[in-house]
Amino acid sequence: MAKQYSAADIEVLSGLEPVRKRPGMYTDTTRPNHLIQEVVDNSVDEAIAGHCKKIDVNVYKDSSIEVIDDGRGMPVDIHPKEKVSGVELIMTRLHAGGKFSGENYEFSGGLHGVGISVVNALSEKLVVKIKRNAIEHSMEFASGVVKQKLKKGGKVGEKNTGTSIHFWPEAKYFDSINVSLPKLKHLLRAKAVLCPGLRIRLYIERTGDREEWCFQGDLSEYLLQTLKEETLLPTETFSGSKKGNSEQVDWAIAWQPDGELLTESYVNLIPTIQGGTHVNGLRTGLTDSIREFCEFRNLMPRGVRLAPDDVWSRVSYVLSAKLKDPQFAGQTKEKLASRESAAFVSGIIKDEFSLWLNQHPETGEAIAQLAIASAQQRIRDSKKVVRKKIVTGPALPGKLADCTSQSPELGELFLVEGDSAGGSAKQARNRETQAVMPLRGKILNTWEVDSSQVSASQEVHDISVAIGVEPGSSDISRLRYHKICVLADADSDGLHIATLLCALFLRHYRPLVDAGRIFIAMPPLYRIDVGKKVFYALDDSEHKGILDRIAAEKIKGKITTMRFKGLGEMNPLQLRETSMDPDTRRLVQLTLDPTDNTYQMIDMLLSKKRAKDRKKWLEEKGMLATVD
Amino acid sequence: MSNQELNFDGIEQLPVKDFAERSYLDYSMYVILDRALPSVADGLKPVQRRITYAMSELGLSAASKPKKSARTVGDVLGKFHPHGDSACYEAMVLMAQPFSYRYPIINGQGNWGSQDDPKSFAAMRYTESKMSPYAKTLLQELGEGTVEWKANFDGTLQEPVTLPARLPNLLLNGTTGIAVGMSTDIPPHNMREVVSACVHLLDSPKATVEDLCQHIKGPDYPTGGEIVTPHDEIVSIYKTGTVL
Repeated sequence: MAKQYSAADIEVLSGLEPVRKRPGMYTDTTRPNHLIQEVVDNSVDEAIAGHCKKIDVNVYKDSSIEVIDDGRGMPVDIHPKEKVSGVELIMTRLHAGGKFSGENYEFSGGLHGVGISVVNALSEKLVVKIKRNAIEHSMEFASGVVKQKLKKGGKVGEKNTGTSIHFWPEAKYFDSINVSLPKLKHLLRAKAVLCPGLRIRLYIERTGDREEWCFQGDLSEYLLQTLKEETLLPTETFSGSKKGNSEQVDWAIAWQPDGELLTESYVNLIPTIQGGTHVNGLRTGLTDSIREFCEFRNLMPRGVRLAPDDVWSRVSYVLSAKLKDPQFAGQTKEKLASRESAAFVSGIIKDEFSLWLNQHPETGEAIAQLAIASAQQRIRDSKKVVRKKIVTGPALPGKLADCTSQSPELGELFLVEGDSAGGSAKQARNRETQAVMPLRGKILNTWEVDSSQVSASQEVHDISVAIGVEPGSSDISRLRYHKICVLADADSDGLHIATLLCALFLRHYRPLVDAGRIFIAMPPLYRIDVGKKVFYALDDSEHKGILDRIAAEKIKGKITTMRFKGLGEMNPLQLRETSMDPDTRRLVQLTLDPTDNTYQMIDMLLSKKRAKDRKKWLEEKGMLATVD
Repeated sequence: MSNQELNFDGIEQLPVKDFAERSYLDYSMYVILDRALPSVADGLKPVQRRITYAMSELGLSAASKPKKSARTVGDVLGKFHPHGDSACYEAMVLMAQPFSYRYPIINGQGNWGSQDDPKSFAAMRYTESKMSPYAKTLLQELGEGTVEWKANFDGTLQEPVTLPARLPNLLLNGTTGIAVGMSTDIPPHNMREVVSACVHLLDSPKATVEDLCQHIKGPDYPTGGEIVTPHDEIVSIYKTGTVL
């Protein structure tokens, strides 16, 4: 007999029960590393607040971990409302803590907000010792439940304060009970670098290894210490710190003519191994200010232009950004995706570095010479191609708004859907490297047209002349742009145009696809209206981020989200930010795998004689389509 | 930390095959569901339905004075149909041409094209239009909770999903349309014949195609014509939808 489903069956999980039922929601269950991070974060937050100087982390043979700090110690007095001691509250209740008000900690390391109670819930045994008010207290828990009540121990000195937490993670909650040491070391070092004056020690009982990190002063000291054997320019690094309303950035930068570079970036003390928008912002800022400096001082030789890579290729940096609610790309959270941070970092770096360059003109000139030398090298390497361009045959199509730069490596061509979007793309582009060509309406389906005949279509002829490659030709040495981007609306007709262009490139310009020269620019998918303000979101995660931001900033008004209709809807500035600016746009490179039947697929989609196959294909896959 | 792989342009990669298939699938389904094929309920494609509904909203009933077509087109584009204006006006012209539609939905004033050159109509700033009496069969029961409604493209207005057609407009006016992987071509029919067939079908719901063909003798084109196909073949065409 089926069991009755009644109100009595509804469970309300209380206390630490939810954590033990669904540990994956609260922590990373592959290894106990995240638990250590929760504990260390608490200690580091004490350090940021200026109460803690030393943190010791001991990893014992029985895979228990002890974290000792000399902070203020957890409160041991009785909570006025809850009638239990502060320690017990912190350890056994979710969402109990002193960081909610935001008054004590502006940017705290822990993003997860559930804190140490999770550690307690997932440990078979946990011992906490607190030195506070000249008395040593201790308390013991087992699987999150109090095993031994708060007990006063021996006397200690009045100034001797701190917390020590020793815990034995419960094996059944984790894929592996062993702590990943490289990750732990990386984490501890990052914390030490970003908290000047904090001394962090790690002791591993199994191997007897001891390590210690302590960095005085700012990031520049860390940079100098790590690169002490290299020649740096400037010798004392360019470093600084700047705070905005909801963001803060710290940096130390030095150029290094040779040797291995040091490139580290952090967001809210979390290492971002793959960089992200804050690093892009740094790169743009440095490039802009060096360009400006070279212009002021007439350093640029004729015909040389600095590309971001010229400035960037020999730079060592440590960058630490702090954001109110950072967004990360991908599963691994190793790359920052918050678009506003690119603008914030580049703006600040440009101002500060320009100032610095003009205060240190000699070092500045040396840095500029380094970049110029790199640019000259790059130009020498590509000289062959440049010379060939001079004999480019037919006149360029009138609709093409060409870029001013002569080197095809930097050039990008945007094939834009429609004249209305073409006009704003022309305003939005960076006219040095980005060329725009509007396409009127849909182009001819060229899949079944012979390469010698396709140029009869005006649009195809224009594309062919603009990119400098004949249809069907295998010689792409005269290619005028190394990136050809299709920028179409995110609606169904835009997708159709993108498909037709794919077919054109695949059939008549195959070498370009093989060389990875064809890109699809992804315009925003959503438009969010709040009162009078309009936001654009590139994808679902950004959409959510924007909604969070609206809630956080308490912007008043009804929020309506709709699918974005056409590029012409946006102002040129918005178009630049969302679809064209290399720092913030989303660009997808099309790749071709010769073995995966690409030709058969496109033939089925576009061939005149295969309507029956298309019908079958639609019957099979029609429900997978996203139609708004 | 030195083996970082920084990708400054944030470039992602995607095989051409996947991109083309996904894009074309979305496009195909959009064209099939929301552009080229009519709804069986009211026999209208989305653009035609939107023109009809927008005109009824403008109060352009058969009894009223005609208004400039540009006003109708402007309302359709601004409220319901975010596409090109010329395509929308051409769809509207077709609905007004007595030689294109067996039962025109729109009553046009001015040059709406002639039979020998249907595209010779005047620009929308010159022509005026109101709805024909026939349009009442599509619209009369609209406000009575007969059909579902959906939000328009920006969520500020509601538009009907289908119109409450009292007659099978799909058979009366016919339609042609080419989508992806499928297309439609339905000839127009005579109203008396179709109504009589409908009445018969209501009386005897199990009526066969042969029975209905007693009422409907064949297509009835607005320009007239001579039926050369034998009766048996016409019945077979009605049964299978195609000439064998």
